[in-house]
Amino acid sequence: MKAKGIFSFDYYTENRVIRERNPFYYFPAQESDRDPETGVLTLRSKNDDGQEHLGHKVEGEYGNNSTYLETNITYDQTFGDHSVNLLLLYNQRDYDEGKEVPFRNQGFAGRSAYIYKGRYIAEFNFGYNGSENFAKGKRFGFFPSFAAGWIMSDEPFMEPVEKVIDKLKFRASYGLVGNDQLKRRFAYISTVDFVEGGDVGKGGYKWGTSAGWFERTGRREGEVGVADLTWETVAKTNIGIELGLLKTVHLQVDFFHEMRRDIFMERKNFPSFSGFVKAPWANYGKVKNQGIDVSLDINKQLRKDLFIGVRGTMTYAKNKVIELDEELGKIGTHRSETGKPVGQLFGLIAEGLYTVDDFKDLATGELKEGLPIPTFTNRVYPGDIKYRDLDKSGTITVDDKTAIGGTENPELVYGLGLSVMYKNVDFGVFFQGNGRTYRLIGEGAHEFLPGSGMGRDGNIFTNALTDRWTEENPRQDVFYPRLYVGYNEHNSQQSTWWLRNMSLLRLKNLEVGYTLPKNLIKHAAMEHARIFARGTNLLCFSDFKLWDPEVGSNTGLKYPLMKTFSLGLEIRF
Amino acid sequence: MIRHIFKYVCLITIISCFTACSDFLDNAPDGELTIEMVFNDKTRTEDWLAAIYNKIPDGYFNTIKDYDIFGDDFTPSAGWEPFGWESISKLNGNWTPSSGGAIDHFWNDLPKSIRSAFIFLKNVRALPAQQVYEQDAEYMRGEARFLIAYFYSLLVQSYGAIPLQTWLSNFDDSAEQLMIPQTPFDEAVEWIANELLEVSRILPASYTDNRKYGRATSVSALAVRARLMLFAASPLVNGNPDFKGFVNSAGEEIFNSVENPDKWKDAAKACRDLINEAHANGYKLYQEFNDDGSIDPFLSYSNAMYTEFHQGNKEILFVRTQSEINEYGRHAIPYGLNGNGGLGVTQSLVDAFFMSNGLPAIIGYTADDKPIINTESGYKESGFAEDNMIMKTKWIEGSSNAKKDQPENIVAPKGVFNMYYNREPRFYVSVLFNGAWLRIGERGRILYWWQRWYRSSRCSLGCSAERVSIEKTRTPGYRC
Repeated sequence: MKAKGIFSFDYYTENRVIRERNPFYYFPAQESDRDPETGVLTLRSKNDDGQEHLGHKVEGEYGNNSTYLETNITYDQTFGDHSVNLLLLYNQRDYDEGKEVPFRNQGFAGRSAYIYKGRYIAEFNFGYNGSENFAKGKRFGFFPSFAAGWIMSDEPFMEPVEKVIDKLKFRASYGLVGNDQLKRRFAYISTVDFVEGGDVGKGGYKWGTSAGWFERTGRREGEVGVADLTWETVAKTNIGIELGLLKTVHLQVDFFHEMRRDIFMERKNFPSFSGFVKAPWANYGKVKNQGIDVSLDINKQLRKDLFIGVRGTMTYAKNKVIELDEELGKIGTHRSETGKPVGQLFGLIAEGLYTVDDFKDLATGELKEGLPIPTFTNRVYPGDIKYRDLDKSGTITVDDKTAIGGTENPELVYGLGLSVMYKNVDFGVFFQGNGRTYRLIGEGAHEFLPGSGMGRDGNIFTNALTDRWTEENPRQDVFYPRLYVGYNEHNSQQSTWWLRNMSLLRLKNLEVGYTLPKNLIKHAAMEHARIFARGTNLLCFSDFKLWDPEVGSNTGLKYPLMKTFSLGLEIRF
Repeated sequence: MIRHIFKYVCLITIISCFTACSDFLDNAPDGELTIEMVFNDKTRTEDWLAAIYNKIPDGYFNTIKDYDIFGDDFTPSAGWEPFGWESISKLNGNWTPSSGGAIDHFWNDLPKSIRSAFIFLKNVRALPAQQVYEQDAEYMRGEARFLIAYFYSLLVQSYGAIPLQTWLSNFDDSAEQLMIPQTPFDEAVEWIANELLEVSRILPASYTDNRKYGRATSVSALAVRARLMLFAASPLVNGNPDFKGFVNSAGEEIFNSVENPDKWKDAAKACRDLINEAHANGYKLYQEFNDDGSIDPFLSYSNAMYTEFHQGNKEILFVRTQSEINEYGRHAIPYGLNGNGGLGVTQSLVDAFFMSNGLPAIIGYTADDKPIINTESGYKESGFAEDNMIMKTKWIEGSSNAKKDQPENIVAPKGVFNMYYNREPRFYVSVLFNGAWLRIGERGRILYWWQRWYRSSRCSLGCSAERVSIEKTRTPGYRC
C-alpha cells in the first residue's frame, strides 16, 4: 500500500517589449531627380512617418498561476492466481488567469482492477467530480464505469489451436463521463448587462436640450439564470474483439455506442416576440452516436528476403439527434432536424430545369395548371431550377426544405497501407479515404452566380460558357441553370442542384527505397545508407472534380493540398 | 512504527483536505449587479429606462432603408446595388420574409425593449432617500407604458398581424403561454390607443426641468395615438378585400373585411384630442416673420427643423433627442461635395409640390405616365428662367448673393430650368435640383448633374434632370 501527496504551484508570466521602426519608403527615381550639375539623384520619400531609430513599446503583459493539490493511495497485491490493483485519488485545482474569478475544480477518482489467472479481467472505476459552474447541491457528479475482459486464447482448452489462433480476446465496457465546460461560466446566475451599440456609449440615452443634457447609460436584462443547471453526461458502451491468427494476422473490431444527454443548449421554443434578449439555456439536448472501428494488420516474412505487411483501418460512425427542443411547427415534418445526424444539410429538392412547355404564358411567367408557384422572385423563366413542393402548399417556399445528402463530416473514414521489402528494395504505399460526406457548393450558389455580395459581382467558372442552359440548347444536364444579370434569389436557394458528394480516395504516400549493401558502404565508414523517392498526395479519386474535396470549403477558395515529390539519402555513420 | 504514523498522517491529510475544501467550489462572483440592486438605486433605474428609449428607431437607417423603393417619393441609386442598397432587385420581387433591412430590426429588437419595459413596470418604486418620490415613480411608469404602446404601434403598422403580449413573460413559462397567436388588428389598435389615452392622463404636457426634454409627455402619447388611428382607418387595413381569409392560429380573422367608415370619425376625434391638449399647453405651429409682420414661409419651414424646443420651437410633439443625421447627410449630399450622392427624391415627389401662387403644378398622369399639367398654375416644362426668382424672405440658402439683412432674397438663380422656377417655398428648402446653389461650409457651389460621371457610372438619382430629355426621368419605376 502506498500513499502519495503532490502539491504544485505553477506561475507563468509573459510580457513583450517591441522594438520596431517604420522605414522610409522612396519613389523610384526618375531622370528629373538628377541634379544637372553634380549628377546625384535626390530621393523623394513617400512617407513622412519613417524613423531612423528603433522605437520601444511594452505591451502584452499576461500572467497566470495554478495551484494543484493531489493525494492518492494505491494498493497492489498479488495472491497466487489473483491480482488486485486499487487506487483512490483526490485532487483540486485552482487556476487564476486574472479573470474575475479563478477556475476551480475538485474531485475524487478511484480505480480498481482484478485479474484472475491472467486471463479474466474486471475493472471498476469511478469519478466523483465537482465543478464550480453549477449551483450548490448540483455541483458534484458521479461517473462510474465498468469493464470486463477475457483472454480466451490463454485458456487451457484453446491450447490445441494455439498455433492457429494465437490471440483471442473479448472485452466490453460501459461508463459515464461528464462535461462541465459549458459555453458559459456560472450559467445559473441571472445577469444585468449593458446594452450594446446605440448612440451614447453603451446604448443609453441623452435627454435635454443643447442648453443642458441629462445622460444615462443603458442597462437591461442579460443572461437568464438556469436554475437546474448540471453536468452534461455521456454513457459510453464499447464491445471489442481482438483476434490474432497464425502470428501474421491481427484483427481488432470495436463496436461503440454513446448516448449523450443533458446537453447544454439554447432553448429553441422561445418566440423572439417574447423579447428575451438572450434565449434561455437548459440541459436539454440528447444525441446518440454509434459505430464500428476496425483495424487489420497482416505481417509476414515470406522468405528470408521478402516481407509483406498490410495494414487497414476503417471507422464508421453515425450520430443522430434525439432531442433538440425543435420548434413545434417543424417537429415531425420533413423539415425536422430531430432524428437526423448533427450537421445534416437541408435544402430544396431540385427536379430539373423549367422548360418552355411548363409555361402557360411566357410573357408573364405564368406556369401551367398544377405546377407549384415559386415565391422567391416575382416570376421564373425557362431554365430556372424547378423545385419540388413537399408540403403540398401549391407554392415553393423555404418550408419545402428538407434533409438532403448527409453531413459535411464524413461518416466513413478508412485507410489502407501496403509495404513490401524484397532484398534491398523497400516499397510502401498508403491510401486514405472517406465516404458519406456532402457539401452544398457555392454557399447557396451565392459565390458562383453573379450579382452577389458587397462590391463583388460573384465569380463564375469558365465552363459557364458551354455548360449552361441556353434558349438555343435547353439541356437539363448542365452545371449552370439560366444565367442572368444581377442577383437571383430563386436559383441561389440551397438545393440538391448544388449538392455534391465529396467522398474521396487519396493515394497519400508512396515510397520506394534502396538500401545500399553493407559491404559497399563500410569502406566509407557508413553504417547504413539508403536512397529513396517519396511522393505524398499523388492521386485523388473522387466524383467531385471542381477542386480538392479535402480542402473543406464550399467555394474552393482555399489553398489545395500540396503534392510533393522528394528524393532523399539517409546515412548513418 | 514510523511507517504506521506516516500512513495515518496521510489519511488525515486527505480527509481534512476534503472537509476544509467543501466550499472550494463556491466560486461564483458575488459582486455582480442583480435586478433587485438596479431598482434600489436611482441612477441604475434611470439607466434601465434609458436603454428602452435608446431603441426608438433613429432616422433613415433604422426605419426605411431597403424599403424606400416601395414608396414613390425617395430611393437610393440603382448604382449602389452591389454595395447592398436594394432598389432594382426589390422591384423585381427578389425579397422574402427573411430579407432583412431596417424593418427587420423592428421585429427582432423592439420586443426585447418591450420586455425590458415590462420588467421596469414591475420593479420601479419610489426611493425617497434618493429623491425619487412617488410622483417621479408614477411619471416613469407612465413613460414605460408609453414606450410599450409606441413600440407596438410601430410593429402593428409595419407588420399588421402581430402577437400582442401585454404582460411580462417568464422564461419558465410553458410553450402554450409563450406562443400566443396573432392578435386581430382592430383589437391590437384598440389596446394601444387605450393605453396611450390613459398614459396621456398620467404624464405632464411638458417638463419644467429642461434636462427632461425628450421624455414622454401627454402630448406625445396623444400624437402617437392620433397617427395610429388614422392608419387604422385607411383602406389598407379597413375593409381590404385582399386580406379576407387571413386567419390566426385560433381561426380568427385578423383584419376586418368590411369597411367601417366610423373609423375615420374616431381618427378625426383623436386628432382633435391631440390639438386640444397641445394648444392648452403652449404647443403651436412654428412661425418666423418678415420685418413687416408677414409670415416668412421659407424660414418657418426650414427652421422648424433646426430650432430647438427651448429656443422657441413649440411645434415639436415628440422628439428623439439624438440622431445619427451625419450618416444620412453623407449619403445624400452630392458626389464631389464630400457626399456620396446616392439618395434622392423621385420625380413624382417633385411633381407634388405646388407653384408659388398656391396652385398645383401637376394634377394627374395619363395612362402612359405622362403628366397632366395644370395650365392655370403657370408651370412650364420647357425653357429656362430669364430672371432670378426673388421672394420676400430672409432665407439665404438660395444663392450666394442672399444676405440675412436683406428683406428680399434670391431663392432660385437665373437660367434654371422652368420646371423648378416659381415653385412653392417648401420645394426650394427641401429639394436640390440642377442649377441650384448649395452652401458647403463657408462657400457654396452651383450644382449640375450629368447622366454619367467620367470616373464611375454611379449617377445620382436626385432630381437628376438631364438637360437633354425630360422623359428619361419620368420612368414608371419610381412611382409604385
